[in-house]
Amino acid sequence: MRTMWQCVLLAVAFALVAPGNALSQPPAAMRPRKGPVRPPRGLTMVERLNGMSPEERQHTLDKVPPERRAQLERALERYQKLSPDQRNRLSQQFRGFQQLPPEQREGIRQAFRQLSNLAPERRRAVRREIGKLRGLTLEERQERLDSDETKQSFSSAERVILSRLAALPEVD
Amino acid sequence: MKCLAQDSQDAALLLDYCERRLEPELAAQLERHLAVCPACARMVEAQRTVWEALDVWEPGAISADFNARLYSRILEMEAEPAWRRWLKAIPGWHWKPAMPLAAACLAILAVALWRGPAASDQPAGDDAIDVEQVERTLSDLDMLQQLTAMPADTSAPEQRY
Repeated sequence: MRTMWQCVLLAVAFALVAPGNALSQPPAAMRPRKGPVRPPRGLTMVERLNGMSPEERQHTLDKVPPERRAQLERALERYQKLSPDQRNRLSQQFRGFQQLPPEQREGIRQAFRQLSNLAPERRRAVRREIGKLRGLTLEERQERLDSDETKQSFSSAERVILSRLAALPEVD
Repeated sequence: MKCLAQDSQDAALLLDYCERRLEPELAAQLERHLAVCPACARMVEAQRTVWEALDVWEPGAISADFNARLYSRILEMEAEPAWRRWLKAIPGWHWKPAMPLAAACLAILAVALWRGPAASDQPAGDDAIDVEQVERTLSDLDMLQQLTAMPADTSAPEQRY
């Protein structure tokens, strides 16, 4: 009997004072994060899929309709073709994008879709302008967007695209 | 005569018979019953085996300091620690009902300690691949790749990674 009580008391004492156990720490959600910041969950999943063998990936995407799966596979292939440096840079870019407010992210996606729908020559003009705007400071960019030259060269819809896409955070 | 082995009071008669404490007339009546009742006969036989075993059993010799050790043990138990005396002072305290609770606490502790480190920073379901989220991420990556591939002041052709 005595031994049993000693065991129970020891177990309780251990649970209360032992470092690294469930009871001696606040819940994970309340703990400050230590070490490097984890990548966004979507990126982690892309990396996981990317690291899988073709069989594993097929098994994982087994329930995805064939057409959708083919599209996903193509996007993954494009991602795989990037060099480690490009992938790293893109990952940083994605982190910055994820930190934007959801409505701004959606605005950028929408602007990108609109850009894709432009006629080829207009698309090229807008893309060139985005490249120029991204090289400017915030104030210079706004000044250029408001300039007569821009107003004459781009429609109001194109200027919205320029404004939204040029605001994408830069990677250092 | 009904079977005596079925009833505890009647079974006492069988024990008395084994100890030869029954009146001769009752013993004779019982012997007639034993001849036709296998259950009672088995019980009598088992009882006799026990008695015979006890007859030949001899208790082992005790050590010379047995009494001294016994009394010392009794004294030791009487000098209980304070917490045990306090527990006994609690009205209605008995250790037996507390045993299931203690066992439950131990089980909970074991599970909590076992699962603790595993449930650290990884939210539940992190292992699962959310296809929609993967598609959204790939689409965003695609877009970002194209947007960052727009060098300043150049007429480079569009590229899709």
